This record gives sequence, structure tokens and C-alpha cells, in this order.
Amino acid sequence: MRQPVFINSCPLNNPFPSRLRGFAGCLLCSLLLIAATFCPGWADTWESIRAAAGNVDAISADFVQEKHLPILARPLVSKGRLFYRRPDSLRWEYTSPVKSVLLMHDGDARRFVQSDQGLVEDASVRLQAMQFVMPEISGWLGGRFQDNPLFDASLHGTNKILLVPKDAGMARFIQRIELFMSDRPGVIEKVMIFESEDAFTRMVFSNTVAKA
Amino acid sequence: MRTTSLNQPGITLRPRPSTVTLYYVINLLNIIHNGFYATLGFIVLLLSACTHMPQIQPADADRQSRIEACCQSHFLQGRWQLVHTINARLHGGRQATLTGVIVLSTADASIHCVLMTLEGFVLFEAVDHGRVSVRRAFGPFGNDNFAKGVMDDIRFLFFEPEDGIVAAGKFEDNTDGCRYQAPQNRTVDLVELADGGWRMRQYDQFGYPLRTMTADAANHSGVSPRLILEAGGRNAYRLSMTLVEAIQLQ
Repeated sequence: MRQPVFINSCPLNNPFPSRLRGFAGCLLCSLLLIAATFCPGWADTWESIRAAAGNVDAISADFVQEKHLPILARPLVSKGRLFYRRPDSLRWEYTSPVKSVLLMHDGDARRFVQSDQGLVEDASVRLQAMQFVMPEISGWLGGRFQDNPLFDASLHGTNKILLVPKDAGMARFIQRIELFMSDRPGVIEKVMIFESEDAFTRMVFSNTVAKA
Repeated sequence: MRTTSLNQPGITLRPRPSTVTLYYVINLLNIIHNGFYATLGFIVLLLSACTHMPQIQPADADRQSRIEACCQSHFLQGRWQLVHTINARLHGGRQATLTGVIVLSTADASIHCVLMTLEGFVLFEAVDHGRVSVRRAFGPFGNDNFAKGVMDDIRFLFFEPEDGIVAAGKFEDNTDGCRYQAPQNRTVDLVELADGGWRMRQYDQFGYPLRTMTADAANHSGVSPRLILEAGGRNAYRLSMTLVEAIQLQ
């Protein structure tokens, strides 16, 4: 029986191979960490970051995500909102261009995507990536960058943290992550995730609220 | 019923009965001589024979040219960037949602495709300039067959079959449309639906349906805001593609 080749080799049965571990989680963690920890003037040392981060219990923020690729005539823009509460509850929601909600709580992760039938669970998303990184969120919120098994962290000036993959395999897919804080204490400015120099994701945050 | 194309007088548009008969005989002999695998082939043959590629009644010359023009209007011309949210429904009811970016050019029949997670992480990137080249792929997305399958899907959805229209007229279900000859001895039927949408079906050389596309009526840019691609077989899948943006490039 002849079939489209795609039928016999469809990798969507396992669309999130282990290589992906950490990416989405690191993305989320980066955002949360910044939202939780950065204020101008105190991000000079890991100790000061840890001290400030210890005061944050919950975070919410709007975000605009731009995906830049050489193939794109203009970047893809997504918008959404995130909510986080210690120790491990996260709602990561896209409102456009397609509505989707990622829920993580107590080590379990589920994603729902808007479809003709309303919000439908995206069963393919086993979310190992999220579950793998979830335990790290507390560490990041605690300002413990240097404990991260995936990335080497370094401070640059007073408003930037650079994360570089420790593993060469990971580096093939994520070259580096740059975290920036805004001038307003406790408010993030942006996160840059570089897959290569001309392929990167920029996330800009607004309306950030951190509760102690 | 007359089934001869006005373009190719004397050529039947039915699904090659002589070929099917020959295949039947060969498989019958194989059953006798080669046991299990031949039996399996025979079963496949019977299943294929049960499917039905509809006949088309060619229209008169004036109407035929109008139908052909209408069919050709379904396909994009020039260079386009298309971004879709793709909901893939797989065998067993599992679903996955991805973002797909396609840059295609009808001038040189090239395709550049990127698949990424909703969070923007690139899972797969490949180009097809007559030969498929994978630039970036995670694990099973790196399978060459997957890349070829993706390109076949894209080519089916967005490119007018290069071998052209062999008949334009009325199908058995009373819809007007066109029959194309496609590479690999395939046949593609395209019909415009009553609501302005389109349905396109691809058959193999034995008249067995491979892919079916259903498209909503085109938007102001001439691009359908929603496509559904269905592929049958043991590991059938269904892709529901919602247009995020379409940009005509220079």
C-alpha cells in the first residue's frame, strides 16, 4: 500500500526529544528569575541577587515574544501573560496568535491549545522539558544561577546575566541566553535566547508584579 | 458516459483498468508462488481496487476554459511567506500543535520550511530546491523520509501540479473541477465547493487516495485562512492549519 512518506516516519509521535530538555523550561525560568530578582544596583553579585530573590513569593507579567529567523521577512510576534507562585506553580499563557495555556503544578505539566472544540489538551506535549526544569525554578528564584546543571552563568555590568550551555550538544541548539533588567527595580526588561546569531527569540516584559 | 478529455482525445480518464488488471494477475501468480508476502500484496491490491477515483465529464470548450482558470486561481503565484498554526491529529487520537513557516516560490518551485514549538523553538528546518536538504532537526525530525514527506505535503497543498490539467468539467458528485496529472504518475482532483472553499484529492497510479485537502474560501490576499490535510493509511494523520500571516515577497 502506498502512503505518503510522512505517514511512516511521523516524528510527531514524539515531538519533544530529550535534546529539548531545558529549553522551554530555561526560557520560563529565565523570565521568572529576572522578574523575581532584578533591581538596579543590586544585581552586581550573586549574593545580592540571592538575597533579593528570597523576598519574592509570586510573580505575574505580560510579555511580547518576537521570534527572529533568517527565513522570516518580519519577526513572528506572540503575546501572553505568565503567573508564578512558589514553590512550583506556573501558568504560561499565550493570547495571540493562538491561545494556549501551559499549566505546571507540583511537578505535573499540561498544555491546552485553542481548537475548534475549544481548549483541547495537547497530549503530545509530555513536557519532559518542563518537568525536568521545574525543580530548578525554585533555585533560579532563589538566585542560585551557579547551581544550574545546564548553563554556566556570568554577570555582566549591572543589568545583564549571560547563560552559556555547559553541554556541547545543548550548545548546538541554544548558543546563549541573555537576561536584562530594566531601570525600574523589580521589573524585567527582556530576555534574549540565541539559537544562532541570526536566529533568536526576544521576550519583552511589562506590567510585572512581584509579591513578597 | 463519455470520459474523454478535450485536451487528449481518445484517452480515458478512468483509473487505468489495464494496469490494475495486470497488477491483479501478477499478484495472483505471486500468491501461488511466493506465499505470504504475495498474499499481502493481493490484499493491498483488493483494498486499492475498492477505492474509487471519480470520473469526470469534460465540459464544453468555453466552460472548460472558465473552469481551468478558476482552478488555477486556487494556487499562489510568486514568492510567499506563510505562517500557520498546525494542529496535528495523529493515529490514536493524539494531538500536537506546532508553528509552521513556509517560504515558497512558484518561479523556481523552491520551498523553505521551518517547524517550531509554540514557544518558538525550532524543531525542523529544511529547504527543497529540487533536492531536499535538512538544515536543522531534532532527533526523529532528522529522518530524511520525514523531510521528504513534509515537502510532499507542502507541494501538494500550495503548488499547482506541474504536469498540468488533463480535464476540466463535472465530477460524479456534480461539482465542477479539474483533474491534474502529477509527478510519480499521480492524479490530483481539485473542485471548488459551494461556499467558495476548495477540496483537492491526490491519488496514486492505481486510483488509491493518498491525500485530501479541504480549504476555506480565500481571504483578501488570496490565501485560505484554514486548510485541513488528511492522509490515510495505517498511520493516518490530519493537519489542521490556521493561517497566522501571509506575506507576498519580492
